[in-house]
Amino acid sequence: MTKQDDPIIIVRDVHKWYGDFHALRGISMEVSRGEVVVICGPSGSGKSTFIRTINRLEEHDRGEIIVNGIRLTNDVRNIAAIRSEIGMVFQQFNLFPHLTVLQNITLAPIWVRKRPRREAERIAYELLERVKIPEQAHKYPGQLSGGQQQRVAIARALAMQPKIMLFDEPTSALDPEMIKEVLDVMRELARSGLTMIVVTHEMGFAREVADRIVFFDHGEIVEENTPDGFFQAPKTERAKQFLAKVLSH
Amino acid sequence: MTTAIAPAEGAPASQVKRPVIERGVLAWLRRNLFRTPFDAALTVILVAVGGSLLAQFLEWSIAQADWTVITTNFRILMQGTYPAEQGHRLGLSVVLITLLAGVSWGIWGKLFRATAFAFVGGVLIFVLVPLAAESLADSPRGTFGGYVSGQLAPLFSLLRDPVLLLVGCLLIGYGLGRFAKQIDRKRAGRYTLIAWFISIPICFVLVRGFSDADGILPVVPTSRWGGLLLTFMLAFVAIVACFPLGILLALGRMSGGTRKLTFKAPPRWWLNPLQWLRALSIWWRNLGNYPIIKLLCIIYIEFLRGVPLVTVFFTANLIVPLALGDNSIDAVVRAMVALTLFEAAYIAEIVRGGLQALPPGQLEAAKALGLSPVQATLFITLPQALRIAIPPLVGQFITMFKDTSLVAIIGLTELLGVSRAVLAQSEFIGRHRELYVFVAIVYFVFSYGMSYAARQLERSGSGAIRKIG
Amino acid sequence: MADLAKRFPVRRFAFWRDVRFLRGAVQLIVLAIVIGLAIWLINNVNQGLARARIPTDFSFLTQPSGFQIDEGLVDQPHKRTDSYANAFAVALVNTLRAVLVSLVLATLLGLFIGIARLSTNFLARTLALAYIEIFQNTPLLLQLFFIFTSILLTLPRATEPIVLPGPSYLSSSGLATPNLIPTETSGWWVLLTAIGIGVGVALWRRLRTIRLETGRTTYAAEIGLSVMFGVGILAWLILQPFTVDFPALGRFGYVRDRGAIVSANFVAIVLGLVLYTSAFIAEIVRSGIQSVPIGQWEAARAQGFTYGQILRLIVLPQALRVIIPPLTNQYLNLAKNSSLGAAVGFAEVFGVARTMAQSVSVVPIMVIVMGIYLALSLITSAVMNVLNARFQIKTR
Repeated sequence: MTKQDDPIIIVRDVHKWYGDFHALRGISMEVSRGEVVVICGPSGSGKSTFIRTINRLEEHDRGEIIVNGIRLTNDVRNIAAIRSEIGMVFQQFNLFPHLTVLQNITLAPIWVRKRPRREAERIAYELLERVKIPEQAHKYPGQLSGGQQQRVAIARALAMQPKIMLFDEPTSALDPEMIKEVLDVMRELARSGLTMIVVTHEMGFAREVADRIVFFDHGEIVEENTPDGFFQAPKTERAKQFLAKVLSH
Repeated sequence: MTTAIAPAEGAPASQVKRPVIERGVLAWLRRNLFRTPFDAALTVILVAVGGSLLAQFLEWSIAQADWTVITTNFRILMQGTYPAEQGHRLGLSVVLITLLAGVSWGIWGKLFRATAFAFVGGVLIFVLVPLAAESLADSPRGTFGGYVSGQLAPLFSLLRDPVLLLVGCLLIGYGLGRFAKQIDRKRAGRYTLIAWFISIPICFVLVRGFSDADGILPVVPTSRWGGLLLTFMLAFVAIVACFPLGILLALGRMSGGTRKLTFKAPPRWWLNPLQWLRALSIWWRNLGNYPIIKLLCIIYIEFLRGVPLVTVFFTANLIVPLALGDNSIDAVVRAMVALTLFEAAYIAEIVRGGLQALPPGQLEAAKALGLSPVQATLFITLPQALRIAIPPLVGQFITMFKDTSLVAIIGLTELLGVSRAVLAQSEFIGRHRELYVFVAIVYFVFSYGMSYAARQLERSGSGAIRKIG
Repeated sequence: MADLAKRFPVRRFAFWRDVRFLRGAVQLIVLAIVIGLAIWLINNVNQGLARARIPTDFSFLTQPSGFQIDEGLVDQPHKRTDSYANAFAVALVNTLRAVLVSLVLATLLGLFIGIARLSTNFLARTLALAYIEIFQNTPLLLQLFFIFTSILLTLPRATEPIVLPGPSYLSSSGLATPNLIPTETSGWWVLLTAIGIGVGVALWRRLRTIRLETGRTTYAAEIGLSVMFGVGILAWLILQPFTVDFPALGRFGYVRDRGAIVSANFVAIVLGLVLYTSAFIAEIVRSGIQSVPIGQWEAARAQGFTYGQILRLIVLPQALRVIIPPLTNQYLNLAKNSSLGAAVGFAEVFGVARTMAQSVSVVPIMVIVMGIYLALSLITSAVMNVLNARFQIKTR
């Protein structure tokens, strides 16, 4: 994994308010190319809000976000450019139920990147092979299992050939027996050198794949460490409490 | 309340039959009509009341009713003052629409055996009664025979051809639809939808015409449309026009996000003008990213949903020609404009309900993929929202069909209005019961038929939605 | 952040690419189009009205109206010399009378038929279904015309009316029912009954609390109820707060000031509205009851409740949550449908406005009429929304 000099994501002192509620309090972080960052923390700590500000699904109220050299502002061109560099996978899959799997994957390449249909379908089939469900191409999402749907969602995000992939609790809505197949796909993606930011509770996965663990609590980054450092020797009290709860069951 | 009867000694269990009193007509009667003493009393009362009502109706129908008011005025009731020699154009339109309806039924619905029997039975009645009447032609008035030959037969023989045409086209279309469904269901469905979209303008052109008196399709101005024809044309035009307007209004009302800020009210907040400012600012921010558009849509929708339709008709009657600067705009066109604007507000609310039923993640996924707002709406939110909204939408279309009757209050002569004009004629004064019963049956047949179709659509639609998750 | 500013200089991007500007621009364009259209249309209308010399102000309201209205709460509520404003007021009162009475009756009838639709008795189910289908699938205006010609016009003269229990009389002059007339003691009766109800409820709760805490039987419900009703009944017998005024038949019809008399047109519009709207309410009630999961019925049956108790205590309260929004819709429809009163000769707002339109310009009249209906709709919506909020099941 070669890392270039400039970090691909720079976040400096980002704040966000929902009315009077201070959701993000001065987040600062840098992500290098090819790095896999796992974000964990109790619910309501601002993890999802944070990664959604990176691709402008939420607007940050103060601070700087710079993605691949492009500053995230109110400029529509910047927003569109940044969104085309970032792919996102949601907890609820959010596949489009009225389109087939193939149509789900080819929709954005055809209409946003303006690729011809043949080429978009070729890319789609390759991605379906990569997530190991090529035979489902003409089914509708409602006919697939949860694990299959999430893998299609990953393929759909990859179809735009993003440099960064954001995962918002990708396995939290899955039945236990299907978590492994999705994590396998994510492991393969990490090995291939993709920059990934993953919000998850899957500590086994984090330990194995992450380059860095970031612990959020109450809208702040409380602790940042390598996986081994974080799990074996958490530095702060809050991190210790959180780990005790998560690792005990 | 089953009572078990022990089998006779030595008889194997498989030979034990349900006791007679548990099956058959008696069992059904017991379960449905005489379950408890209270139930039995209720049954007796209902039979008495219902029976006497039915007997009164039959007695009136046979002895006192004079159905010639319908047979003599049939053309006016059906098409108003539409020229008789151009009637074939109307017939063509009816065939087109009914065929399409049949095809749609074949593709998306199911023909139950009971319905098929009902159809065949109904048609047979219309065919056999006039035939039977010929053998009873000499029966005197007042007897059942006289009634059949003098009253029912002319009416039924008049209705026989339209009914045969309708039912025939419906069933032929059904056959075509089922056949097409076997071949390629999706493409059949898509072509049928396209056919519906182009058939309504085609009907409009067929009915109205475009050339002068000697050409192929001479113009029949809207002022000559009347009766059932006018009812259908009003409804069709309004349905086709209000649908896109309603969708635009719904999108406008839903524009700009749905994050809600709550106003935490300190005690006695209304005394403090600063709190009023805070409340106002929170209300404004809650309007989202496009407050002006949202406000305009809300004002339009709430205004038109708060006033009765007759007031809109009445006002439009005066205002539309003035507003467009053209005094020659026909009353029918004014009514169409009024009905379209009015119903668009209701359609907007129904579509908005569909939009709100969508999981918000759909729009987020579309945005994350980079789709522009227009693309996201066209490809993702609207198709799904409309699919969800189909049952209440069809219900609203049926209501619109009935609402056309209100133009009678501003003097237009659709089916209800023209019946009043017919009744005003001196030879038909007092025959209001017969005419209104007939008009009620006509409305009932179409309205019930459309809601039956809507229920079938709902059943197949929800199945489809189950399939697509 | 100075290092950031150096490495990634902030480029002043063109304002037409700013998201906020685009949003504002889109709105401004839409606003401009709408306002432009509105101005053009209104201008046309004004010109047309001026050309036809039709006045558009509200000054007519104080002028004498030139027509009279016989329908109302009092005798001769509006005479020829009364102002147009008075005519509107009388018409509004009539609309409210018709709407309120129809609302209550339609709800009761709809509730009854909706429950009948779910009965185990085949006849009850079928007759209810027939009723619903017939009244839902025919237009209201047609039903009103039918009622007018076939019922209203066939009513007998007041000298030989149809006699109903009461005694009440139904004829072409209207419906005369016995009337309760308050006497001087009725105020005291109301006060005493209110006190009695309050004391009864307080006693009930107190006794119930005692029973829950100590387990002693206290007959809370029986005592509470008997106090509540007993005081009212006792006070009635002692005070005689109301006298009953029976309608009487004179030589030319109903004797004035005897009994409560409503016009036949009122009866007709109420009948039409009730029959039509109750069919829709019945369907709403039916689907509301069916929306309660069947497990609720089973659990209640297993505990030994009777059918009536289950309906009253368990199913209907839950069904109400689903019923209230569409019921609100039907109430609004009923209020707006009252505008068809002219079809049965009832002097409600729209009918009176049409009469006015013969001598005064239509525009201000329609503004007032639409304003009245809008206010009616908004008030009804607001009230029903409060009710709706109360019945929502609280979730996390």
